[in-house]
Amino acid sequence: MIQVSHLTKKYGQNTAVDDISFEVKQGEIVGYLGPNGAGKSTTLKMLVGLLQPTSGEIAVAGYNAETELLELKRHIGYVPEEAQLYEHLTLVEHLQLIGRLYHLEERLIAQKIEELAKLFDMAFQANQRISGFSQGMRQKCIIMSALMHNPDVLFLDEPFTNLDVGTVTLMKALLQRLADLGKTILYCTHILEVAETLCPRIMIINSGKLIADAPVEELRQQTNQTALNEIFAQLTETTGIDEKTEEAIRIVMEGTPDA
Amino acid sequence: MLEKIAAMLGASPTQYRYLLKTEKLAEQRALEGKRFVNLSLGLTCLFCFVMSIPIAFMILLPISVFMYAVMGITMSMFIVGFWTIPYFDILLSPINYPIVAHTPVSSRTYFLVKLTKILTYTVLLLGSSGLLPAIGGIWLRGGEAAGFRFLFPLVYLPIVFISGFFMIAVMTTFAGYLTKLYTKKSLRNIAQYAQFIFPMLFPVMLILLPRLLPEDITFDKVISTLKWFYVLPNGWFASAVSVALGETDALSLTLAGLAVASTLILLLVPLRSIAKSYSEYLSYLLESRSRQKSEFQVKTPLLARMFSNTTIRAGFCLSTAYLCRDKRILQQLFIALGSMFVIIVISTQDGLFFLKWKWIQNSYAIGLSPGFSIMFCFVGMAFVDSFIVPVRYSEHWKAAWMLKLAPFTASSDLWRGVQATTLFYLVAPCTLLMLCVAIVIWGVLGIFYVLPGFIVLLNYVIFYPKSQSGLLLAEEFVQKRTAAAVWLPFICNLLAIGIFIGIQFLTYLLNIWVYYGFYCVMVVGGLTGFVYLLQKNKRVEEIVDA
Repeated sequence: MIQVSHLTKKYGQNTAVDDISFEVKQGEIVGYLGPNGAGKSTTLKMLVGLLQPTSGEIAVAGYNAETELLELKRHIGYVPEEAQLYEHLTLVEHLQLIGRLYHLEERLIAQKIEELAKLFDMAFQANQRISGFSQGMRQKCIIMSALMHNPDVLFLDEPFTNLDVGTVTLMKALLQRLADLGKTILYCTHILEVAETLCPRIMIINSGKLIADAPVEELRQQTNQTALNEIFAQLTETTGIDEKTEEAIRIVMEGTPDA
Repeated sequence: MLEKIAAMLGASPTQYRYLLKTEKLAEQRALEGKRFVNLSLGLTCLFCFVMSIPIAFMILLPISVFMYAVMGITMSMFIVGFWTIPYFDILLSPINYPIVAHTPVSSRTYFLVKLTKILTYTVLLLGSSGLLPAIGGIWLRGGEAAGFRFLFPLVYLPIVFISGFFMIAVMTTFAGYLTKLYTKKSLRNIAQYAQFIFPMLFPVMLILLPRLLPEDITFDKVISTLKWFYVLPNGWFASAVSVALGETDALSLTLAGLAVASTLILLLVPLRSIAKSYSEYLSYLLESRSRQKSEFQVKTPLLARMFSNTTIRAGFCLSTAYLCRDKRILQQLFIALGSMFVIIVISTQDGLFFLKWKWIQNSYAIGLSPGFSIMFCFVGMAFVDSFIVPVRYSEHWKAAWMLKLAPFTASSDLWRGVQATTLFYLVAPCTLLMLCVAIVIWGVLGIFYVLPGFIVLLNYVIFYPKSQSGLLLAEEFVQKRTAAAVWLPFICNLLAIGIFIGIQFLTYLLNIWVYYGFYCVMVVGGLTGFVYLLQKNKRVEEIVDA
């Protein structure tokens, strides 16, 4: 469903994504992990057509990102890392906009808005402007937008940020069910606990390079670690945590006024 | 020096210094690489300088220091008042406040930082508009205090700066007190838009003053009407100039005293009080309004249902929502509405300037003429520009990722939604209004006077260049960036209208029936062209779909 071949993105001399290749099959949920600035969001932006790759091939849902971008966009849903929205619109107006952009019928749009708003406990805020929403409500708004047009492939970039526990639980179950129904999900995060429970397969990117791509069990065997955070630390060479903690404590305590 | 003033006003000088520095740095970085903005600021200063040239030429007339100063100060106060309105967003919006809200920065300190930011811009304008009249004042011929005239620039410039500060203080006080009654959000918007009243006072006075004159107008009588300025602050500050140059009669002293007293009172009473509760006001703005519950309803606007193409419908609904709600677009519309009001008021004044009812009535052409129809075109184009230019930019420009992600069949469809909004919500009401005016003047024949202007506007909207990306609200809004974008289409259209007027005039000279024939060709051609362009867009879309 997602095919990426030798994908590279350069900003001048800086290589954000360095020659990565992978494939995600239909119905798979794949966790895309990496430390801050590793190139996760850049990869996703290229996959959804928001960024032009410097080189490499992308195909999503059977459509080439270079030659059939329009068709590709019809089949994807995207939750970006930063919830940028038209703040002057109400939730209903925002979802209507999205529905129309994806050429849904007006009656279907109205029906979906009503049902989604109730599902995400947003019915009472549906006719209020987004500018007055909390971060969590904005995130729900983005998630609803991504689901409106029944996409075949979902690209999620830190989708659970700012969400309450209830919604996170709902979202986890929903993503699992969507995968069962044949939807493909590329889930980008640095929260390892969620990735561990939701994603049978994990890809890890560090400094723009794909350093691991395997089922969680296989990664455990490869690294002789049981917890995903330990696997992650080993692969991304995030070591010396104890020393760093002590250093941080020293800095914080430095110059504290006497009581 | 600013820090010392801040300390005197009860602010923390250190916090004030660093906050101001940070705010300036943030703004500077936001504008990095946008030479456009500096150019625009430079052009505004140049405009102020050019506006001050006629004032400086007043030294050729035998006028007093007071008269000369009143004209210069009036112009400076008007420019400052009008130009700084968009910048009041700095004060009235909680921009960057969340960053410092949890730190021990006092309300007064933060208010002073914001006020200083606004004043920074005004200093440039006041300098540009006051420099030439200040130098020119040395050679004033008539009136009092001849011996101290060489001191004129030293006296005039500081008083111009104080008058500018006074203007800002009045506007801040007005907005501040209105926003204190912040039970409703709409009131906050009114507070900002209502500030147009202050700068508009001066041109309205210019219109009203000649009405106060008797019919046998003489130069002396014109001068005598200037006494009306005694009741306005610009008269008080002009008197302060006279007093500083040695004019010590009771009236001048009283007026100068009023200038000093009113500035001090503004500073010590309302501004002080607003500064004290400023953070409270900003906190209120930051409060989530989502606590209130509202009725759930999904509605499609009636006009939007006309469009079967969902992308056009999306563009239409999005641009309509922003037309009604976006502060910057509304500001532009208010300015256009103000210009329209001024044009109509001026044109209905008998004996004022060159536009009179009779002149319009005797206008030779039912087609495009320098009379009614050109006024209609001006007003309509100002309205169209006030929306179609700022709708490209938005403070929410980052949200355009949604538009970039959407699978459009034809990229121009969204822009067609914008065009539809412009036609339905701006061109149509404007045409109806002008039709009413035309019917009052010419009866049913008024339709023929309105038709050419209407067709010009239809084509103006269709031909108006769309944004580079073809998207709306997709470019970062930078203050004054929009100004330059207006001129090219506006001037091109004026040139085209000029050519049509010329051809019409030639046909009128040839034969009246040739003139009527050309009128019909112009109207039918204009309408056909408009319909053809709409159809052409539709065909392109169908081909892409196929």
